[in-house]
Amino acid sequence: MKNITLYQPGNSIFHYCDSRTKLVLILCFAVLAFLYFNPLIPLALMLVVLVLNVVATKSYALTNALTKLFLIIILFFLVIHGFTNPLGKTPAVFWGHPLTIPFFGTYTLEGAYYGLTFGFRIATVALITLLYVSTTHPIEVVRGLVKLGLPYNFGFMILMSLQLIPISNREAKTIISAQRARGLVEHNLWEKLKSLVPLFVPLVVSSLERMETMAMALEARGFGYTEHPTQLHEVKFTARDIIIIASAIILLVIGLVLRFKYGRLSWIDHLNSWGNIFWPG
Amino acid sequence: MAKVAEVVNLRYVYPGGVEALKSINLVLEKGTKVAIIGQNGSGKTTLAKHFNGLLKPTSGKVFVNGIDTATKSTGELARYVGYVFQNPNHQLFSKTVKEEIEFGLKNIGLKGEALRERLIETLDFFGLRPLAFKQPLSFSSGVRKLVALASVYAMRPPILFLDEPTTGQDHPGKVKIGQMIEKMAHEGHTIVVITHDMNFVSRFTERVVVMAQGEIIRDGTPAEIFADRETMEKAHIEPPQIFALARKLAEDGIEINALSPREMAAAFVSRGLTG
Repeated sequence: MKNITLYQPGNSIFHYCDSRTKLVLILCFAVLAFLYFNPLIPLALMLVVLVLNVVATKSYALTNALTKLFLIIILFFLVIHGFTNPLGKTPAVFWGHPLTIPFFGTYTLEGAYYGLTFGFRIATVALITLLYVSTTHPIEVVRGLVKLGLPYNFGFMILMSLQLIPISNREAKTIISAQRARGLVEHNLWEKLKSLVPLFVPLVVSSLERMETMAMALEARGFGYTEHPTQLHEVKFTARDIIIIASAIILLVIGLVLRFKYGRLSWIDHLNSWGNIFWPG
Repeated sequence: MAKVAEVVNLRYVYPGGVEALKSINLVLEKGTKVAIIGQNGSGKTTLAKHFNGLLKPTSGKVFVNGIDTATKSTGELARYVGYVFQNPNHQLFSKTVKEEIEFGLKNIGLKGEALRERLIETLDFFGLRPLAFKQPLSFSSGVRKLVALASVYAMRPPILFLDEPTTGQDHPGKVKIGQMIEKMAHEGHTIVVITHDMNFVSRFTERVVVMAQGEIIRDGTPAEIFADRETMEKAHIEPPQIFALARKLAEDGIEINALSPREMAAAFVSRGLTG
């Protein structure tokens, strides 16, 4: 394991802006994605978020496993909802024939509509969150959260655990070597299961011992002396952050106004062909 | 003497591209006490890990009891090469010392009476019998180290590697480990110690292999090695104080080769330097 977090170093606008700005972005996009009940707007939002991701982390945005996973989930939703969604009325036509699976039913246009809507909504939220975690260093994440009211000790704990993962990883490797050197062989699943005890006991014991030492070392350096320690790096909003937040909020407000004026913009009751799913006919 | 292990032209490159070992040739003989010394990063541990297959050569061969280690897993090589890691906490996991020792024995397939016999033999060898039913982690670090050592020695490997056996040990602890090493070597086991503790090396080993930057730069007896100023400087090693004293005396024209304070004192007396 090279990277334990999803953070990708870089120098895009999203790397430099405050982590709280990105949280506002997540909130705005999440609300927008769920405002309307049609696949078109969530698809547009998802594409916008994908572009933002590419701007931020270049090729990583499209090649990482999570992005792929969410795109696959859309397909999954499309198939499952198409066959099973109870809203389904109109059978979809594949080259002149409806498609039916025994015990599940016929593939319907309403199901496809519903599946795509939800798929795009979830992918939008997931990808904007990916933007946050892939452009924000864990330390920044925690600083932002502390600034937003997370107790300092909590934030410190999260950072500490992140830093300990690679250490524990290395330790686990040493322990495996030590037990193999004592004749531990793992040829099959049963032997592998049995070998967990000699691996986990030393790992847990040494982790606990390290925690104890670390806690004492921290206290010896004055940790916990005050509830509100001064920050080493003061987190501040800059003009960049204000522009991003302002545009996100304007977008959100427009979205909300349209929602109250024109309703959910749903055309699920008027589906009669494939093309209809993306545009009211 | 019969050789128990042989390294031929061993070269090892870590996956990251660091060449940790460059063309190592080494023969280990039965029943000897060998120390491998050198700076951190000189390749001592990397070399040691090749003997029980924890690492496989990038090129070259390592033979243990005539077996090419590249063809066997570490678990299978455990009966030929024991390896005691630096931190005993990394290997102790059982409820009692007895179970800790039995773990390795069961792994090499001992059962019933043979297992019981070996267990008792091992407990007696290390003087651990009164502690057999105690929790290994409840002991002081010195005793933990002994338990770890016992749990590996129980398998009676012809070669036994000890990685930094004296780290964190007080003087009695070091002496105890040293005595155990002598006792094990006396039983015909080859003991290889990887250490930075030069006093321990000069007191308890009979052959010293000096490594620097992935190569063996010198191989000889402690007296030869520690008196060799050039090697010591090249490997960035501070010899035991007794050698530093001998060197200072040599500068004043008094040549004494002594491995211990007692020998040094005897040499003073025999040369009439006490007045």
